[in-house]
Amino acid sequence: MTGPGSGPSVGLGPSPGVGIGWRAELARFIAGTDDLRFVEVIAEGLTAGGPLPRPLAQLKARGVRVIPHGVRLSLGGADKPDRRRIAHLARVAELLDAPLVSEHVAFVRAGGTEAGHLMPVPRTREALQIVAENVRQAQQQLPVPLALEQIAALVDWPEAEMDEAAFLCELLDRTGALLLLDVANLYANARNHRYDPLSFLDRLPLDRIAYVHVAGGLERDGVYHDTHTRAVPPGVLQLLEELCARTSPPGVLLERDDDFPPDSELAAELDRIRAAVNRGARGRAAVP
Amino acid sequence: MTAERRARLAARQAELITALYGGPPAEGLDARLVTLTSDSLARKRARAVARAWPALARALGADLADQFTAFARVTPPPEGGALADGLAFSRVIAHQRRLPDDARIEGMLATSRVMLRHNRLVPRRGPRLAAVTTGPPRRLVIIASLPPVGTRIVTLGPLTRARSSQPGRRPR
Repeated sequence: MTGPGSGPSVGLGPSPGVGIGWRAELARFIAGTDDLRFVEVIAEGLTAGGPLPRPLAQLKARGVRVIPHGVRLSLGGADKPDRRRIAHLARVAELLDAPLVSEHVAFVRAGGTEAGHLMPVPRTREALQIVAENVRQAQQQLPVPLALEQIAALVDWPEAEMDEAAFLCELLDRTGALLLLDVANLYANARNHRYDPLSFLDRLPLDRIAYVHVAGGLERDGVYHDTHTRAVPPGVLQLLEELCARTSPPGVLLERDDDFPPDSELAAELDRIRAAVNRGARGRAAVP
Repeated sequence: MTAERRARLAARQAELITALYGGPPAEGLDARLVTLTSDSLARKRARAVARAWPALARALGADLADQFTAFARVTPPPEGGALADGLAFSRVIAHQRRLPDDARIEGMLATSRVMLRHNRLVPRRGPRLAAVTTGPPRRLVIIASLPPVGTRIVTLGPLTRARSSQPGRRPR
């Protein structure tokens, strides 16, 4: 493929191309797919002291980049992030020889209660400062760069003083963190909260993208849910193409969490992602 | 100053979590979107529990999604993921209906390795012996665990009134 890899390298290494989120149910497919150059693994699912689960150790031995993806640090939470959780993420990164780690701009617990998923931070100046402090604390303890992912959320806080792009840009600015741009989350939020995803893209520091997520969801009760249980819809692929017409992201990763399709469908899905990246890259090349 | 800011944010975030799990609405948030979020979280947990607890999922069939989501809408998830979630759920339904044998054995196997304490899964350290009767025909299933050596399941039976039982083994 022509797209990924030619942009500024922010740690993924040369031409990681298209990857997939590693799940036990996908282990066999991933092991049998030679052109996957990077995967992501849920950091909390690994034991910090090792050993790595055999399929991951085999991928690593094959030279596949394995990026730990944290989901429970709660960097957007009111409490300072738990040093033990950050230490775990740090040790997993070392175990995997990962060039970077990723987490979310979200909170997952408050007042001692788990939310059950990634919840949106009220986009106030006050919250921004707290999240930036949390992120800096994590960065100090991590051996590799941290990439932050923007989440999809149905609820929005009435006290928001900034829109999503402003909050995200300011947070990246203040912390120097990299960006894990989730195109499917952007698609979901733009659709549910009725804003233009392209102008969102145009406001982001695209040169800070560590890698990109794509996934498929479904419409229910009049809103789009980013469930990671369906094929990537055309709207998300179009948005990926638009992104790749603007920049060359170091890698694009498919997230699939449930209702796992047959191997042939997954392979076709990865091909559609590559095709969208290549269409975007051709568009970029055509612009003088 | 910082502590005050953090306390304000904590209160607001706790308000949303409370609202997500059947509590009073969070001020200024769209109640319909909070409900949709709550439903979507419950469905996601139901899928994960069905994967982690196959015998329970088989036992409840299509009812699992309905029963579990009803539970999950008012119960924040424990820290231990789907294993802990299923454990907490199976405790609730075990009171309401008798689960099939394989689902009960599945539950006992899980509790022989871990326990739910303060909403977290804690690995068991010491040896543990648990038994359950199954059937008809009635059998006694004994689960013996000795961390870190492992777990053994021994099935005795069928149990009859006067005769001594014939030990039989089920590999695991």
